[in-house]
Formats: sequence, structure tokens, C-alpha cells
Amino acid sequence: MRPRVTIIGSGIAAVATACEAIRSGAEVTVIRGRPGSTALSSGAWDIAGDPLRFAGTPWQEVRSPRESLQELIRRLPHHPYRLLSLHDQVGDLPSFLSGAVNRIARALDLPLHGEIGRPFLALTPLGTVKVTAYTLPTHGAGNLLEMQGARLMVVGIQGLPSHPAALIASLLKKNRHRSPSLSEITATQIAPERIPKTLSPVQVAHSFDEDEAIDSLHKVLVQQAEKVRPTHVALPPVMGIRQSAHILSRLRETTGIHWFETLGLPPSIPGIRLQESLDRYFRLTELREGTVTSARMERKRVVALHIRDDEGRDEEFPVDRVVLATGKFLGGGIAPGTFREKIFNLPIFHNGNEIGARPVGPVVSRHYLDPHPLQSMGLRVNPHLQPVDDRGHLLLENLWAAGSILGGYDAAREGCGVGVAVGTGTLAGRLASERFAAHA
Amino acid sequence: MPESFDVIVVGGGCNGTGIARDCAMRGLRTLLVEKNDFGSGTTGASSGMIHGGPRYLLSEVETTKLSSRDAGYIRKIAPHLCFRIPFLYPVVKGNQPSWRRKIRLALVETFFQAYDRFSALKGGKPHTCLTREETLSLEPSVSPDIVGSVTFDEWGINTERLCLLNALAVKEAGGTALNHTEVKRILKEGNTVTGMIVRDTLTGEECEFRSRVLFNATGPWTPRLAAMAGVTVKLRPAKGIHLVLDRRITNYAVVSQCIDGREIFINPYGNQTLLGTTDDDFYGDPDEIPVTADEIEYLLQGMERTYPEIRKARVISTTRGIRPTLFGDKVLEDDLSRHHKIFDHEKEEGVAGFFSIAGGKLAAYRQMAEEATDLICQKLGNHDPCRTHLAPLPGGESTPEPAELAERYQLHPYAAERIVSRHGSLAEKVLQPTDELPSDKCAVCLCEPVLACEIRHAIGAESARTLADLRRRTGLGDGPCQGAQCLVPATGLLDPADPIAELKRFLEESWRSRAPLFCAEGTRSEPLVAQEEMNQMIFQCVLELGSQ
Repeated sequence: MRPRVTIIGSGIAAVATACEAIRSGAEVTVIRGRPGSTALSSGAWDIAGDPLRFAGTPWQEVRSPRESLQELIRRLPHHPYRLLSLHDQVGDLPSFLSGAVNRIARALDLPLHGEIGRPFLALTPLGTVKVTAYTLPTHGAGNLLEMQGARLMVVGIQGLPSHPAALIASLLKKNRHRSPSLSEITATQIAPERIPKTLSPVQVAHSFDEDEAIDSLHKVLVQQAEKVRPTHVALPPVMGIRQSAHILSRLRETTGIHWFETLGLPPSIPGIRLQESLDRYFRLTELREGTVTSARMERKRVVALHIRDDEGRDEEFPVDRVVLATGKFLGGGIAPGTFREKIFNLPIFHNGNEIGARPVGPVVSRHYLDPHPLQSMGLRVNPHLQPVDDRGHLLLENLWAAGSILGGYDAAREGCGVGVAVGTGTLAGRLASERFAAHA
Repeated sequence: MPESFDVIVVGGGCNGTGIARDCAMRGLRTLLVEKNDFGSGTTGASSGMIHGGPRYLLSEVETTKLSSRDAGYIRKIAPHLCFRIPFLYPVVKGNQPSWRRKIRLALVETFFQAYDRFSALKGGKPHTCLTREETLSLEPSVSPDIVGSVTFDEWGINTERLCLLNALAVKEAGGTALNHTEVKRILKEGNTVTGMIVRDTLTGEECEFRSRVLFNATGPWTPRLAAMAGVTVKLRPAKGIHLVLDRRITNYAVVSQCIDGREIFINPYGNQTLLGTTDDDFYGDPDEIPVTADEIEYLLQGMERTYPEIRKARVISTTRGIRPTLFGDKVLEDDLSRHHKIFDHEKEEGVAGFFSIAGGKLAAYRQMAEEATDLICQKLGNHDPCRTHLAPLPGGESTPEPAELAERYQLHPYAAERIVSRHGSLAEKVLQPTDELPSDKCAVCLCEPVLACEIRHAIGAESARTLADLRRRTGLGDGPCQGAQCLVPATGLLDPADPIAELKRFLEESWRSRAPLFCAEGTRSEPLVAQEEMNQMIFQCVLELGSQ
């Protein structure tokens, strides 16, 4: 009999788990609740940010995700990357991660840009530069490291204040000493017709899914490009939801210029697009809609999950092996009042110590940009990604965990959200599918 | 030659801006300086009410009378900033015998019968007495464990804009009003104060001003500025905090009793609800006011017995301020006098040209300013009468119909209503530029909402220089998302000299009012923590502000 793997969650970690479990020959069911942090993605796929980067680091000297990975593992003893790097199924972690990312990109039909051995320096809608590993297709032409002698034009849309082109250009100019490669930076405002009057970025993006609006946008952009004659153009990340690839490739063909979107700020259009591709993928698996409210356990095994659907109906769903990929607080994996995992009531840890409802130390720091325990708390797992208690004892024999529900890392600070989700998802998917899984 | 004034007022709270306006309107050459922003201290952290103070009816009937009468004036000069808040005072059954409950309700009613006399001064409706059923049908979230309730009327006010409008009125009357300007040194010749050296806290530029009178209206900082002039003012400062709840969870303010018998209440305020306040001796630095998990739980528990639903509300922020209460020995904080006092330091310590004010209540700020200005005028030989209770504050001339503005400018009616509530008759002036630039009708902050044209107005006509100034003037970044959506676009419109530093400063400041919520189990709600995870993704992960 093929092992039956049930995945709770519908973000990147869940996709990674599903891909690998299917590849390993398991029968996969995905239980999808509400969208979590994947749906808020900026369009960047982080593996490892440069922990040694500081304000003045020249762009050329930013470390690659491959190098930064080693640095993270060396510095952070509880980091999931360290568990992965020690597991005999993983081997060389950077290759393991890049292989998994590429497989997932193929499964999702998303041609990602970037490589593990080279940083991707993406432009943000503030004008700062974010270090990442991969980006979604619409940002692909926007690696600032690859703009030798480029003339960059930053485009703003009138009535869309979330992409302040003048500010982006001026901040970028201020940092030009860090990047001698850009030869010219200009900002321009356009006013395409046929977009709604009072705007939210989502409304604008939706409007660009319509042919007439696309034509009008195309015309204005091409006119502007002919005037300024840039080599690269940074667009607001609102170039349609379904039509984005089409809009950008048509611009590229007409003008021969590199067009790209800046990263989106959550809740961002690139995130909506990503969640839509994930959802298309899940439709190919066996999919159940609803929230898992609790579970039935018998002698250290999960035997069934209780699923509540949108109409409030409850159903008991028998399970064989379960991978928990429900996320942290945004995804709804952890209850912040009590600091317990929500479905199985698993304990939550920070730096190896269990946290109760009344934590002994503060869960947040005094300064906003300092590390907050809140952001790096999560499940503690053994090397096989199975949740354990404060003494390291296995809690449930047929349960694995992946993604941001794991503790020991701060995805926002370390720039490793997608990397951990993909890495732990892939390993959990593989281990849960083994015919004679370690404990299952 | 340094610029010279008749009077310099230090402090941009209700007292300082009120005094400066009065001085300027009486024709004195007036300068107002504030080290942070107008309304950013105690005034901005208050309950946002010009209430008559029924609490003081038994001990300080003069305070009640003064507050009620002056509240009536404030309503006339700034009608758009004020909004009626009907109050419910439910009498909870608790575990007292039934004859006692009935007497308690009768007593409360008698009390408010007396208050009706004062309430009329500010245009409030007389009290009514409601049965248990009537109360619950009006406000179903009130605990069913009540005997009945008494209603009375109070007025809410946008305190930050009240201070701003007073400062703008100083300019209208020919004076000068500077925010982000702090006093570095007070200049004296012998025993006479002659001026001061100030520093622009944003640019670092220093400059000297001379004056015949220097008035210290710095609230909890009063002793500090007094010390710079070589005199002493003794206060008994007390901390008060509020919890800010998302949305108007009630249409009535509801009074409840805390474990120590103190009365607290929730009151609807704009798009939000405030729960407060505490009253505790404060010995620390008024620039760094901590909020503790105990204070938060004290308020939640106190409100819970009358309004159990409070536990389900989403707390999004806190406010904290220090009352500059007059010194009193061997009394509890709550029983301290709310009287005010003007210190003429020439009389008391022989230092001429220097005055301080302390104590008092927001509702009577205008009256206090009038008294202070009378004294200044007496010193300077000015005989002009006070007109601050008659002349409207900027925008207070009339209140336009929001529906008409919405129609004329094609706005969402709610957005129009919010603009009118902030700008009164000047709403048209805020919106007019959109005839030329229609794209400025877009919402920058979706929580409040705040339109781009209003941000431009705040920058151009209301001396907003920082993101936090924009927050105080418009409510930007104050909603449940705490700036996640609006900070980047607002930074674009503000165009500060150092955008990264400005963003960081705002995040740090708003974090100080939010961080305590994560330490108390009662406020560490799922939406709060989830929003924080998202904001970390925005500011830390995508914008990488930590490594800029």
C-alpha cells in the first residue's frame, strides 16, 4: 500500500511537501484553510540574506545565498537550516535547496529568476535594495547587479501613491556610490486611461487584466520610453494579475528594453499571483477545503483530523501520516494568547526554551528593528522534523512539521522564509512518504 | 539682532497653544515653541473629551462649573472638532442586597440630577434613568447583571487638532508658531528672563529669541523648564494610559468601576474606541512613559464587569500621558485637586519675566489661557479684552454638509465625513486642488481613510514635518494596520531630507505604544500578532530597514 500523506496548509511549505511526497510515491491530500503569509509575498524568494551586510556594503560585495547559508548555520544553533544540513537525506544544503526550488518552480509553472550562487538585488517600492535569491518572473529583469551602464527609469502611476517613483529614484541615487554600474536614474509619472479613479493597488492590477486597459498602458509606457530612452524600466508591481507575463513580454518585444516590476509590499499583487499559482497546483492534488480545528490521537499517533468547512460543518478525516504546515501567526498555526500550536496543542519554544501563556522574559524587544522572540518562536523538532517536547521526546509518531511554524529562525530578519519552507517541506514530504518511516 | 517678541510661550499642548492664541489675538507679538509637535504630549494622550467633570461635583464644584461653561465655548469656536458622546452609567447588581441596589441607582440618578444644571452650560441633554431592559436594548453588550442605568451627555474632541488649530490661529493673528523647536537655554539679565536659545530638533539649527515675557506651559516638563530659569515648580505628576480599540465597538460611552473603586469608561472616538484611564504617581522621565501589563489588565478587568464584550475587542495601540497635577501631600492620586495655578515667579522667587502654569483640565483650557493672558497683559500694559471664546478657530466658522462635498468631489461619503470632522469649513480648501489634480483623491491610508490631498494640505498649510505629525493631523497610520499600507506613500508625499531615518523614527515611536500589548495576555490577540508578523515582513524583510 502507498503511504497516505495529509498536508495541513496551503503555502510554499505545503507545496514543497506535496511535490516531494508525490515524487516519493505517496498519496497526497492537502487541507486548505485560509491563505497565510505566502499570499503576502513580495515576489522575492529568499534563501538566505547576507547576515554580514551593513548599511554601507557595496552591492558587488553582498554575499551569495550559498555563502550566507553557511554563515546562518554557523551563527544560529536552533536554525532549521542546521537540522537540514545535518540530515543524511540532504547532503549539500545549497544544492538541495536549489534543486527543490527548481522542481517547485516547474510544478507551479513559474519561471523563477536567480541562482543560489549569486545574490539577486531587487528594487523595493521605497527605493531600498533587498538581497534575495530568486524572484518571480515579473521582477526577473530587475537584478541591480546586472545593470552595467544601465539607464534606469522608475515609473509611477498618477493616483497610485504606493509607488512613489521620485522617492525611489532619489534614494537609489543616494546609494549610487554603492553601485557604480547604474549610469542614469530618472523618475516619471504616467497617467494611463481606463484605470479606476480612486485606487487601491489591487483595483489597478485587476484593471490591467482587461485588454483595452493593457493597450492604453502599453501605449503610454512605450511613448515615455521613447522620450527617456532607458535601458531598464522599473514598474509598479500592479501590471495585471493574470496578464502580467503578457504585459511585460509585449513591452520587451516592442521596445527591446528590460522591463520589470519592483517588489510588492504585503499585501502585494505578486503575492496574490503566487497564491493563485499555488492554488492551481493544489487543484491537481486531492484537495479538502476547511480549517482543521482539532485532532483525535491514540497512543502517540494522530488518527483523525476534525475539519470545519466554510459553512461551519464538521467532518472527521482519518489520517495515516500528517505534515503540519500551518504557518506561524499570520497563517494561524500558533495561538498567540497561550503560545501553543493550535491543532495538536504542541508546545512552542524560543531558543530551546518552552514558552507558556505567561512568558518569563519579554516576547518583544524595546526597539522595533531589533530581533523579537515573537518572530522566531515556534515548534521544536528532532532531526527528522518531528515535533518534540522540552526534553526532546517525540510527541506524535506520525506527525512532521515544515515552514514557518518551526522555531529557531526569524524569516524577516534573516531573509530565509522561502528557503526554510522549501527545505523543510521537501524533507518532511520525503520522510513522511517513506514506506517504513522512522517512527510511522 | 535676535528676533524679539512681547511674549514667548513654551509648550504646544492645550495650555500653551491656548495662551499663545489669546496673546496673539490681543495684539501681542507672540512666539509659540514646542519641542515635539502640537498636541503630542499630555493633551494628545487624554480621553479626548471636554467633559464637565461630574466626578468633581462633590469635592470641587468650581472645577465642574468651570469645565462645563468652557466646554460650551469650545463647542462654539470649533464645532467640527466636537462630537456628542452620550454616556451610560450602568449600576451593576454585583453581590449586594436588592434594597441596596435600588438605593444605589436612586443615588446615581440624584447625582446626575444635580449635574444637569452644569451639563446645560455645554449644551448637553439632561440625564435620563433607564431600566435594565431599556439599557440592554440600547447597548446589548452591557452586562445583563445590572439594575438599570443613568444617561448623561458629554462632548468628545479631537485634541491633537485642537492644539494645532490654536497654533494656526496664532499665525493667523500675526504671531509665530514653531513645532520641533526645543529650548536649549533660557537667557537672563540679572534676575530678569530676557529670552532663550532654541534648537530645531530636525535640522539641528540653533537660534536666539528675545521676549519681555516667557511663559512656561510645558505640562509635565514644567519643573524642568522652570529649573532652566532658576526657579522651582513642584508637581505631583500622575500617569494615565488608554487602550485604543479598533472600530467603534459601541455608540455610547459606558462607565464601569475598577477593583479599587475608580471609575473608568470606554468612549467611541472617530473610527476607534478608547478605554481609560489609569491614574498613578509617576516618578520617571515624561519623554519615556512605560505601559505595563498590569495597567492593561487593570483596565480590561475594570471594564469587563460592566461590559464583558471588551475581552473580544481588538486592542491596537495604547496612549500614555502624564498629568501635570498640582502638588498635594498624603492624598491618593485620584483625589488630587484638578485646580490649576499660574506661578508668577517674580512674586514668588524674584525672577521677573517668567511664568508657569500647572494643573487644570482640558475642558477648561481656554479659561485658563484667558487668566494667564490677563496676567501677561497686565504686566505688559495691554488692555485688549479676551475674544478667544467668541472668535472661531480655523475651520470653525461653519460645518459643511459631508454629503454635498462627497457629491461635488466624487468621494466616498465616509471619506468626506472624516475630512469635514477634521477641517470644518476649510474642507473645501483641502479638496479644491483635486480639481486640477484628480489623482490626489486617492486614499493613502485606507484604515482612516486619509486622501493624498489632505496629506499635502497638512504638509503645506499645517506645518507637518514628520510622519508622526501627519498621523496627529490626519489619523494616518493609527488604524489596525499601524502604517503597513500608508507609510511608504506618505513618505513619498512628505519627501523628508532623510526618508529612511524618518521611517525608522516613526516605526520606533509607534512601536512604543504598541509593544506593551504583546506582553499582556489580554491584548495579545491573533489579529494583533498576525499584523505584526506582516509588518516585520514589510519593514524588516522587504524594505530591509534594519540594514539601511
